[in-house]
Amino acid sequence: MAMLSLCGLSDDTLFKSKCEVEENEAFETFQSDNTVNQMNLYSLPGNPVENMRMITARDTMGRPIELNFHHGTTTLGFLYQGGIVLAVDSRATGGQYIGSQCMKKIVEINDFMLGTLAGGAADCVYWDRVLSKQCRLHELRNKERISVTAASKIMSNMIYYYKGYGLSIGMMLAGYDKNGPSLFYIDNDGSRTPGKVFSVGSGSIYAFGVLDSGYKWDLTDEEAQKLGQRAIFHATHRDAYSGGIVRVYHITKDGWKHIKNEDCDEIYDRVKNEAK
Amino acid sequence: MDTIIDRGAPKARNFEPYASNGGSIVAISGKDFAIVASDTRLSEGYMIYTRKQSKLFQLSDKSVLGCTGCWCDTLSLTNIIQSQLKSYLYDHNTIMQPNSIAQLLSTLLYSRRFFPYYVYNVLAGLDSNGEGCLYSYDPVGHCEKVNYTAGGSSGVLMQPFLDSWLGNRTAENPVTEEEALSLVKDAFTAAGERDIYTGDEVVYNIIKKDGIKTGVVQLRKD
Amino acid sequence: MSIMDYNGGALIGMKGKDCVAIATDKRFGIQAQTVSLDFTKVFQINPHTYMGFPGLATDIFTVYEKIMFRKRLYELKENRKISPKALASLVSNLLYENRFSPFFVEPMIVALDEVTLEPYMCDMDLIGCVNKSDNFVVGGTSSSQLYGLCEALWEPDMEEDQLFETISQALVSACNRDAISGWGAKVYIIKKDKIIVRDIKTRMD
Repeated sequence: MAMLSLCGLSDDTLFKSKCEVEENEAFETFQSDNTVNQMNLYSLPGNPVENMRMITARDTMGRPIELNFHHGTTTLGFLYQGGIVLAVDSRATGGQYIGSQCMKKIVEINDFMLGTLAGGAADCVYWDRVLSKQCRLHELRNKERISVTAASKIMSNMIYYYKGYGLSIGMMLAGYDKNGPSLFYIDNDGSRTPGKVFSVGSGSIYAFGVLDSGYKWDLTDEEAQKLGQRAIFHATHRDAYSGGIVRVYHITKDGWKHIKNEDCDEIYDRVKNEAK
Repeated sequence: MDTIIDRGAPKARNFEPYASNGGSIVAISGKDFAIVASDTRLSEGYMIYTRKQSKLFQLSDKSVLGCTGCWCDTLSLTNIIQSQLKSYLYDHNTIMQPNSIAQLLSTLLYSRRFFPYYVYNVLAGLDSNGEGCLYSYDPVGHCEKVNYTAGGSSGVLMQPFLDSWLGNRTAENPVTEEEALSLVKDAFTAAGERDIYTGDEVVYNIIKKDGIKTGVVQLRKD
Repeated sequence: MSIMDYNGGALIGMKGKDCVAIATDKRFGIQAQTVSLDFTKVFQINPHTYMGFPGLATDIFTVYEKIMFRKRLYELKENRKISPKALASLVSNLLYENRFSPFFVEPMIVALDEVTLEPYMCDMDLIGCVNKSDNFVVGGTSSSQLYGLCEALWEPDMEEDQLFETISQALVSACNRDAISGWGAKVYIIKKDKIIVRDIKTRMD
């Protein structure tokens, strides 16, 4: 508006009405923006992390705001001669409170690709959903399944756009495409690394201890699945923010397969008896 | 003449957009029903604003949303959902199913990832097979399908109680409507004893094939 | 994270008919890391007097030793066993001496009076404000969960078996919703003629 008067334009110029149209469009899409374009999120002006700290510092009565997002995890994945094994726990914590004991931390992106999630639960689930939409679109446009490399690049680019906004994501993307099996680690800093053995989350240090001592390329399928389960189980035992059910998935050239879910409580009893 | 009015050092004013208005929600789903209940106390700090404010919002004849936390966010969010549901109805000439509402709510909550709605949501409904379904949320839209849940200011107090009764249920031993209702009452009575933000009354909605039944139970008023 | 939540833990005391019970979890952790699975925070002070110490592990032992020192002096001077009520005052005084640099423990006393065998129960904050209770006391990182459960499960005049069931159920369910409590639990039922100690199984994750 200031621009208009500065240019000496009258109220009923074409230019003005175009401004109004744009303003109205912006207003209409304001509340429902990410239902139309999922990659467009509302944010306050200024530094997003600083804003978040400020708005959650206290409520109108001066008490701190308890915005407990669900968090925590142990996840792992490794490549071996028989494909890829992914194993995850299922606990979601908000602070010390256990929000859920049966969260699904492996997301099925398509029949040949899986993503694991660690960090902020909503962040991971949301962006994985956006990713699976992008993968499906790629498939429809190009008449072939997306490669894991490409999918991981899409994911890391999306996350990189929001770098410094305070997202918390540590994910592994695993799948089988025309180049064979591959495994990527992606996080909220925008890093994207291919690799053979990964573990992500608060309990990853414990999981690595078991995983590294038992891992070799020539594992049989059964050994590999057992190793994955055992590494997660030991991590849940020592790490307070991991627990619940251990879920194991296996990816081969025929796509992913869900191997088993087993409660940590049952695994504990079994492992204890085996030790005797 | 020499008097200088001391106005003190300049103070930084922060942006404090959130209020904690208290309130709790309990929801349990069964084979052919879903029950969702909230208390009716709306408060801030040590002040009670009203003793008669239900936190349940009927979204369709098969779904009810329970929403607590910052009351202004609750109102704003429920308005947006209701208008989205209307658009959907006019666009598609069908009422949105609870599972779709669940996803919509998750997406809407996440749209404000960097300035969240300070609310805890529970969506209860009957799915397309006529079975009860429940979705519980965190403030930024992490959604989980559950069989029972407690949220809001007394969520921490009530959830383990529900766990102890309903945690080990199997398909052969499903929870009945009467049992669910009595659990809801017990949970709120217990929470009302220890949480100052929960009290006055419990209002519950039982969602069934033939409609939504509403009822009220009295809680302590102090 | 508050210093009270550094090590984690959950404790409850409950009153029954002519008996009392106290229960503790067994976890000793450093924030998220579980270090030991055999750390009970309950101590016997006298044959029928037990104390539970939720809070910072290092202060638990310091406070316990200090209490025992003063309690022994008291008993030597008076030539009789200390009553739970006197013990509460003793502990309260000890904690208040450190009003401005407190020990990070919130002790609870669960006892039958050594003479009259009257049940007595109290808990206090970290600077010694005694809060006597006629039904139950709770403490530790899962105290909110425990309050909710105890309010729902507790009823007056429970017999020994029912008391055991109730206190175990409350502790186990609360630990299952708290990340830093659990890893096994121990229940003490205090009756006039015997003390029953039972280990209970909980989730280990």
